[in-house]
Order: sequence, then structure tokens, then C-alpha cells
Amino acid sequence: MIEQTAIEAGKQAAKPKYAHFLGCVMPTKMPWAESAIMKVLPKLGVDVEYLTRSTCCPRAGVWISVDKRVWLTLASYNLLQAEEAGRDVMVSCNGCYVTLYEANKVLQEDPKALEEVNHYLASAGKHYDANVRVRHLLEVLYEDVGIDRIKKEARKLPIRVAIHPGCHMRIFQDGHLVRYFTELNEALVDEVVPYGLERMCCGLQANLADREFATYDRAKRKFDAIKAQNVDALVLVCSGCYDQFERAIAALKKKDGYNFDVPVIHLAELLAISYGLKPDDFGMRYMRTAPVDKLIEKLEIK
Amino acid sequence: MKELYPWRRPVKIPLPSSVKPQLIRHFSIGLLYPVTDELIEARKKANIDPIPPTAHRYHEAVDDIQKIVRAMDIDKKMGLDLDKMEYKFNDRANGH
Repeated sequence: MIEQTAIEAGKQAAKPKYAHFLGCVMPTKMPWAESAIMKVLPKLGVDVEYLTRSTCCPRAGVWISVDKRVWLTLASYNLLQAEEAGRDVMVSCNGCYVTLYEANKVLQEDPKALEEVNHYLASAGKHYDANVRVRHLLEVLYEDVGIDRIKKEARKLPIRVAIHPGCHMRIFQDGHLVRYFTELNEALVDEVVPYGLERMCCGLQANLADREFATYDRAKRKFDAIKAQNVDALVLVCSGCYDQFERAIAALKKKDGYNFDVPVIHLAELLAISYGLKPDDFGMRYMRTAPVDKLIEKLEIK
Repeated sequence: MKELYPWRRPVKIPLPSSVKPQLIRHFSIGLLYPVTDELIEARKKANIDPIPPTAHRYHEAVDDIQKIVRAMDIDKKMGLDLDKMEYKFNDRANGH
């Protein structure tokens, strides 16, 4: 009995607790994604709260080349909010994930870097011990909740989708994040339709140097290939990629009258619907790049 | 290296104009995008708090970020006046 209690206590203690890092784009352009994540994860037994007081991750792609100290210190400012709350960090945006994961790794492996970061954090009365884990939403779903459980429990949605993993999802050599993303989509919908350009960048980083190239040679090439497949939605998890797609869709419509009418949605929306939430529970109809009415009609068929 | 190339000097490359306004937003509101009326409505319809629980709501986080940036002297290196939120050396890039 004592042993059993100890095991139960151990399990309880081992259950991860997460602080959801929102980043810049999700709370301001994808409220439906933020809401779907925060409402569906507790249904799956995930202990999640907001990572409050967060600021821009910041963009490692910019700051590493300008001044590495800024990247590490501003990333630490976000990480320490979770550390103070006794939680690990959970991120959905691939870009924010890479920024925070890599910064945390550097600080856990290099005491001098951590010391330097704490020197600067002290100017704001803050301190970071690098005692948190940074995990992707996909890892939380696939590993913590379990892909087998999701495959078993989820209501298969009667739609065909294209998927956009995003470059930074390929951070690990074993490609496990891309595999998780693909398998989770396959578990949730009738068909994941290949379109040949899944690996192509959305164009976000190129946008900083050449907006025309980013819009026409990256985003639009993907849009053309996806439209040709006549899918119901384009699914992603990366807020950075969504930001680029949203910008490109608006620019193409204004400049060329080009209409990308495939709704760009977040994986968590599919998960939420599959686990019984209604589209209006998480504001699925509002602030979209394309109307989602037809998609919702299909999703609500039982 | 200095012995081989005695005339070589570090080059100061200006920040790309596409990055400058982003940094002003980062250091003035903490994040890249502001909260708009349209967003407040959409967040209400999504059944989440109208103001995100980020630096948008906790303004002290912006003060902290500015203190840290000043401590690193990165504002001076970028030529960014944090009080006025203006770049000192290129007026055309200010806020555009």
C-alpha cells in the first residue's frame, strides 16, 4: 500500500506542467489557435497555463547575427517567467521554439553564458537558473498525451487537408517533429494530400530582404500547388509561417486579385473539433485569411 | 589577423530597414504586433481574455526589456533612442 502510494505520488510529481508561450503572432492574429490550444489540452489531461509577461521570443535569426547576448538574455527573460511559475515551457510556433530551445540549451551547457545573461537580467531585478525544459506543442501531444491515445479517441474528421510543417520544424536531425506533425494530422483527418512542395519555406525570412521574392517565389508557389489539390484546408502549427501566409495572401489579393480561398488553420483547431468542441467555442469564424463556413459545415457532419 | 591586415577595421553594417520598425515595436510594446479593436472583438468571440496575458497586459515587462537593452548598450549600437523610439542616423527608417 505504501509502495503503491509512493508510485502514485511519483507519477503525480512526474506529470509535466506547462506554461504556454504565445509569441507575437498567435495572440494578435490567431486567437482561434490560442483558444483551441488552451481549451483542448486540459481535455487531454495536459496541465497548461499561460506563460504570462512574455515578450518577443526574440527572433534568433536576426539577433544571433547582430548580438548573441541580446538573443540569450531576452529569451531568458521569457524562460524565467515559466521557471518562476514552476513550469516547463510549451511552444507552438516553430520559430519561437527554435529561439527558446536553442537559447536554453546554450545556457544549460555554458555556465559562463548563463552568468553573463544573469548579469544583464539583474538590471531588471531578474534571475534565471536554466531549470526548465522547452517543449514543442507537437511533443506534448505526441509524447505526453500519446499518439496511440489520440488515434484511438479522436473522431476522424471528414476532410482532406494539405500540411505545411515549416523549415524550423526540421531542427532535429531525426526529423521527429515533422513525423509527429504528419502523424497527428493523419490521425485527425480523412486524408493528408501531398502537393509536392511541403518542404518549401513559407518565405518569412526572405521577406526581410526581398518581399517580392518571398511573396511570389515562395508563398504563391505553395498556394498554387495547394489550390490544385482542391483541399479543404491548409494545416500548420507555426505562427511565423501563418504571419507570412497572411501577409502574402493580402498582398496577392490587393495587387493581382489572386484569391487563395483555402482556409489556413492550426492543428489544434482540428484537435478541438475532434474532441467535441464547437467552432464557436474558440472563435473559429473570425479573423481568417479565407472564409471557413464550408469547412465548418464539413467538420460538423456527424 | 591585425598583423596581416593592419588597415582592416570592423565594419558597422546598418540594420536592414525592414527590421528597424520591428525593433521599435519590440522595445516599445514588447511584441511585434499591437492589440487592435478588431483583435479585441475576435478574442472575445474566441472566449479568451480580450487583452493577451503577454507584455500587452503586463507593461512592466516592457520596462524590464528596456532596462536590459540599456544595460547591454545595444540601443546605442543600433543608434536607437529608446526614450523617443527613433533611430538617430536615418530618419527615413523611423517608424516606417
